[in-house]
Amino acid sequence: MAVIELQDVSKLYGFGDATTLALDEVSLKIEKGEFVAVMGPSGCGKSTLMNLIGLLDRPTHGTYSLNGRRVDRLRSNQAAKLRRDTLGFIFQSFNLLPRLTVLENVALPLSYTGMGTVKRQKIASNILERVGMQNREYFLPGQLSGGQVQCAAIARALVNNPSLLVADEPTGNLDSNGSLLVMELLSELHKVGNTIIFVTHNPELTRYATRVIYMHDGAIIQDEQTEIGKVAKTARKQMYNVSRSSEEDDLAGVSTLMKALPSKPSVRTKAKSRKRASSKKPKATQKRAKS
Amino acid sequence: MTFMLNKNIGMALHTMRSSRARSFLTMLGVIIAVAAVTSVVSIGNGIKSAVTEQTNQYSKNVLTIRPAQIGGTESSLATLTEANATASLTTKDVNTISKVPSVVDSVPLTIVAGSAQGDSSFNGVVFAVGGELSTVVNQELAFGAFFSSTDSNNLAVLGATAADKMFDQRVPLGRSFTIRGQQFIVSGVLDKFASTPFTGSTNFNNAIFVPNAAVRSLAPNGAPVYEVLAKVDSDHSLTDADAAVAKALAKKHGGQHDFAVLTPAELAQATTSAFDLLTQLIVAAAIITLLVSGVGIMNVMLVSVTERIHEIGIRKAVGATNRQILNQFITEAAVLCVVGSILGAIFAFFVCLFLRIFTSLAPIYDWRAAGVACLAACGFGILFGALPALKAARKDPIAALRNE
Repeated sequence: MAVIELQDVSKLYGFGDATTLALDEVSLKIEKGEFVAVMGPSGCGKSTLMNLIGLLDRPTHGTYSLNGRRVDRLRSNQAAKLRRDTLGFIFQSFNLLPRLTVLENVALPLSYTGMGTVKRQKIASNILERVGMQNREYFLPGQLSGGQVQCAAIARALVNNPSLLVADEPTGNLDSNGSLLVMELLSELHKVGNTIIFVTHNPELTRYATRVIYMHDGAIIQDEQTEIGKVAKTARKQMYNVSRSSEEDDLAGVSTLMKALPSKPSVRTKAKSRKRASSKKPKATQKRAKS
Repeated sequence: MTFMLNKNIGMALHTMRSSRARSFLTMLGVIIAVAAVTSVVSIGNGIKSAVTEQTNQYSKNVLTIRPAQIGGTESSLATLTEANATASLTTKDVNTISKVPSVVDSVPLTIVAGSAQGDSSFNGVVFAVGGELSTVVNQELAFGAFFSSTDSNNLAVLGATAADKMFDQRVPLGRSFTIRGQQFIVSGVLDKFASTPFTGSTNFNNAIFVPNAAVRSLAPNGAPVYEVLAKVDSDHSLTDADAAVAKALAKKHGGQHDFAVLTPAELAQATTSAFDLLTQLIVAAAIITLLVSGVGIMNVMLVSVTERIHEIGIRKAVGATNRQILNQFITEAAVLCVVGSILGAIFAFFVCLFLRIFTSLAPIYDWRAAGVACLAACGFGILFGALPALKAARKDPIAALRNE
């Protein structure tokens, strides 16, 4: 059974003329134990996808199953409980509470389960030991380096023993040493069986992944299985020019609706103009032949 | 649940510590309101207790007969003026009262208008009384002796305060003073009465007592009888004596009950009920202050929620439900109120202590009133804290996380 199964998931923001299509009929299946990297230019919908997978947001259309259970129409409280029990979210900006110690921050998700202070702090301490942060338990986030703070954030994401770790640019705010620390940690977690999906702009980090997904304009344009230790083949290529829409795609779905919007200068328009030009060409040559 | 409450209280105290000045200013309204309610009720209690003590001291077994229906439970503070206005009691009535079998002794108190001129001028109440007053009201003299009916008409006995104000010396026995040009000689000074301000009874400490016979020269046109004090035999019950006196007087007044016969309890009740009313009015004002402080708390909590949107986003992202966020912010509002209430109750305690030491008011600290005020403050806090808490709970996690 797939951990994540997205079927034709779309996400629209705004109303009327101001509507923005953030995700365009995305379908995705992630199996247990996969280490998935999501790449793509800014604004392509990576974070929206992470938010949907992390149950921080709901899709406008389509279905989303987490561990075989439909979760796309959950009420906010049910989603909160699932976030607490099944998911671990790692943010680019760490998002630790500055007034709490590292230990208290890591134990925070457990506090919402009603667990006693001693028990939850013991669990949090064990997790911090796993991520190599036990000697920083009583530090405030402001007293740590970026890499260490992100390690603490990873510990917080792990504290409920989640079935899926979702990381939205976990190395985005870190220097190379910090990035290495965080990615090695995520890699260790993957080795012990965790399912991880992370967003990155750095092609080098695809070395850690078993699968790389490329996104553009709210759609998945390529899905590549890779070998751990090697950079994905297409990771360094310029992916923006790849046509993502065919005539069949245009027949139905949200893409058709969005075509009418003037703010959508798409690959599709260019393709059509090219097509029009090529269909005119033979006529011209015919005329020349007649004359 | 208990654990979550502990955690929320811990968080709330942490928030309070991190913005001490703002928290204190928010609590100030609650502190003032709780202190006001508690102090006023305590002062009221002190006065009620003093009135009871006063009644027990000098009007035990004494019936007070006043003109018209003025001394009852409905009116109390205006007794003197109404007595003068109606003046339905005469010296004949005093004889009637003294003939009632259960009455051992009776003494009329007649008011004579005029100020006294001793070493310094004094504007107290001048009562023309019989020599029996001292025994009727069961009050000893500090110095000298009370005049009797056989003594000269120009003797006078002073209340303790009157003696202090009129003469420079501590024991003014034998000193003379004038009222309406007539000279009187001080024959005695009464011991200090357990007096309380604002009571229905006249403060005898401020009074000058002259013999009944002096009325004729001081007020040739006659003076109104303010009240008649009748001492009841200890073998008879006060209620029976009350009925007997009322019956005898009504017979003489042609069946008209244009007088009031008051037992000590009724006399005290007149005062205490007036105080209850006054206390209720002030407590009502204090409740309005509590409401206003509740609005202050709501305002501060709204600011707090706006400042901490990002924190709310993080908490929601790691699994906090709407209810848990709601509880957290309601707890914060409640903690502000509880701490404010406790400080208010402590402040009221010191106000009472200050009044007890430096004034004649002797407040009795009312723990029950403090408790009720604290509970009310917490109730308002939770009520007014609910709106900002609801606003926090309904935040969308994504939007909240974006808010830095």
